[in-house]
Amino acid sequence: MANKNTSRHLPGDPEVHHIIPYKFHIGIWVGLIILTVMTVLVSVMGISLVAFSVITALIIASAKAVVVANYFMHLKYENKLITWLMGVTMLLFVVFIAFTAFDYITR
Amino acid sequence: MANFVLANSGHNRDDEASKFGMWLFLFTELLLFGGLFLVYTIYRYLNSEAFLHASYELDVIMGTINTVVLLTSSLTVALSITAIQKGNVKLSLWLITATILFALTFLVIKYFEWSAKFEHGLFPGMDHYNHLEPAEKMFFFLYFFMTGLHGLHVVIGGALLGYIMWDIKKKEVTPQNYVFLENGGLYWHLVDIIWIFLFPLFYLIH
Repeated sequence: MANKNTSRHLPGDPEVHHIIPYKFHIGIWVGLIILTVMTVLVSVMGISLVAFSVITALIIASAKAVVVANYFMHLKYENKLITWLMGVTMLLFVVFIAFTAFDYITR
Repeated sequence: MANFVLANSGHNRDDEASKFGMWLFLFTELLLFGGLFLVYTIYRYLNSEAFLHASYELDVIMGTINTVVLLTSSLTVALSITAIQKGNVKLSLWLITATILFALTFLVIKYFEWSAKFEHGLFPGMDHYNHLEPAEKMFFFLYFFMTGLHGLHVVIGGALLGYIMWDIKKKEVTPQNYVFLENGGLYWHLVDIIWIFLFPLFYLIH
């Protein structure tokens, strides 16, 4: 069966996979550990900077989550539709937080 | 009629769709924990002093060790997928075994942490807990509920990986067909991502 439309994946076609090298994964892990050490240090040392440390902690946590999703979970190499839907999920979550926060702040 | 064969018969497999289904499930998981993070955010905004005070009861060192344990388990499961893609089934099995051992390590450390809180009577309903001010009660309630729900995910994830090892032994998951392992890995990484947020929000308030 000649497959004229190469952009479309049909059932029965050979599965194409992106293989991430071992060393690359280990490099990603080292990066994640460094970020973890950073977030602990910011928290333990930045006692006088309460608000700053919350924001820093959340930025570092989000960076770690993005790295895990992109490389460990192969999101970067999957169909872009999954990334878009991830964005929609995050947007929903931001809407939940923002609307509830508006309610509490304006009472 | 005897030679009539359906096109693609025996090949009706779509790994992309399988992974897509898993991702859809993971989005619902994110929103399940998202609801709890929403409760946490609002109560912390309303009672930041009490949350700060209560968080000093948590052990930063144990929390940090558990973070490293989960990140490393995420690495081993990611490596196990690379191994099976390269056809090294034996290495893949060892790496999944390592992941399950890290999951057990995480749970043992969590057990010691929870035991210490029980001894201090901080579990909802216990003596010390009942005499806390309402906002501190909320902190410990959320701590036990969220780490408990996360712990349940660790147990399920570990069991799922054990089941996948069994499938690899039965040759139902092979270097040619390993999407089940990929989906198990996706679930495991989700467990890691949730802990990435739980850790700073409960242990690192300072």
